[in-house]
Amino acid sequence: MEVKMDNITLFLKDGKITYRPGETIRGELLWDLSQEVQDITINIFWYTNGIGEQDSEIAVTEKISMPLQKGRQSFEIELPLAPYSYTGQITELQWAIEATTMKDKVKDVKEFSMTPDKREIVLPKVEEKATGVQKFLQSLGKKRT
Amino acid sequence: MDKTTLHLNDYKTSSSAGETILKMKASPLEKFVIMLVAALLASGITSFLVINAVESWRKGNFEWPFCFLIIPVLLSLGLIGMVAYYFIALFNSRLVVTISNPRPQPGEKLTLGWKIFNAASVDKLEIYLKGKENATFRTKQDHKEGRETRENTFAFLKLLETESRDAIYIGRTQFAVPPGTMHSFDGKNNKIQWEIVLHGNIKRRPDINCEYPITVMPFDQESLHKLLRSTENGGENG
Repeated sequence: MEVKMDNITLFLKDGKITYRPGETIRGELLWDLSQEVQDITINIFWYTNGIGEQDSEIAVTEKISMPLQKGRQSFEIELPLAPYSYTGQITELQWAIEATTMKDKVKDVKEFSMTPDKREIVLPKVEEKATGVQKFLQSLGKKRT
Repeated sequence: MDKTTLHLNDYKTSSSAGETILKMKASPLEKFVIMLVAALLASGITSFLVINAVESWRKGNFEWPFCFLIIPVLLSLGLIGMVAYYFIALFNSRLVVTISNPRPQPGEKLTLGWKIFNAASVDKLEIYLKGKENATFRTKQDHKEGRETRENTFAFLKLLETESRDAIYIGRTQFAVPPGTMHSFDGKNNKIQWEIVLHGNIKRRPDINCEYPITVMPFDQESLHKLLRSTENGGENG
């Protein structure tokens, strides 16, 4: 007996993975489902990673209503102006686009970065000058040594 | 520059058009009150432990060794010392800090102004622009859940360092938030924060230490177009 697998695939135009804020993200969605669904949703969202609890937010949502069981459709969605993607020492923020049927039964996710000049924003670790109480405690430490 | 006629309230109303007076993250009074409450709590608990231990010792019962009390006693003494430090800091010079735009975009030129009242005691003034990432996470210890926050400083740029009396008293400096950096971000658990840090060195007294948060904005549509044009021109020229 042949078991048909549900399938949704997102293609971003030219395989792009870096965008500018406000730029239009273009692509195509292909699907092949075993049963009819009410709609297929495309979400553009950001999420954080790192030592902190995760924050996330859906920025843009588009729906393909009453799709056929098998089909393809191109899409064009304008990205928001912020927040930018960044990679820090303890946190990072990434953008992603996902296409999903109801209840996340079938989905495809593509990650991308969004920065003004399309260059990765990396936040380093820098030493700051000790001030106030920190300075006082450091001077105590130095006196001891 | 007339040093005698300007008073704090005059300055508040006379700051140049387009300048905003920055608000301190925590005033000296707030810092003092927080430290006082912490010291009172810690001292109360420690006193209770010490009294109980002494009474037990008098009765000849040794519930726990005295050496275990050294840690809370030292902690309480340290906090009392900090209360004294912040109390003296209450009488430090007062200051007003202004900025040409409290919500700048990366790369935008800004003018920072300051005025320190009773600046005679300040030997050296340093001003920094600080950017930090901040993450809050859950902790679980002995079946108790808590929340902890960690920080990483990713930018600490010196905007000014002066020992000149006149410049310490009143002045202005120009700077820009570095281009190509991250704007302020206020997630529930993850944040990017920017602030101006002002440090005044005072001999034999607590230094002035003030932090003034600013909001670095992402580029608006117009600025993005400008940036895109400049990178395209740069690419063509280069």
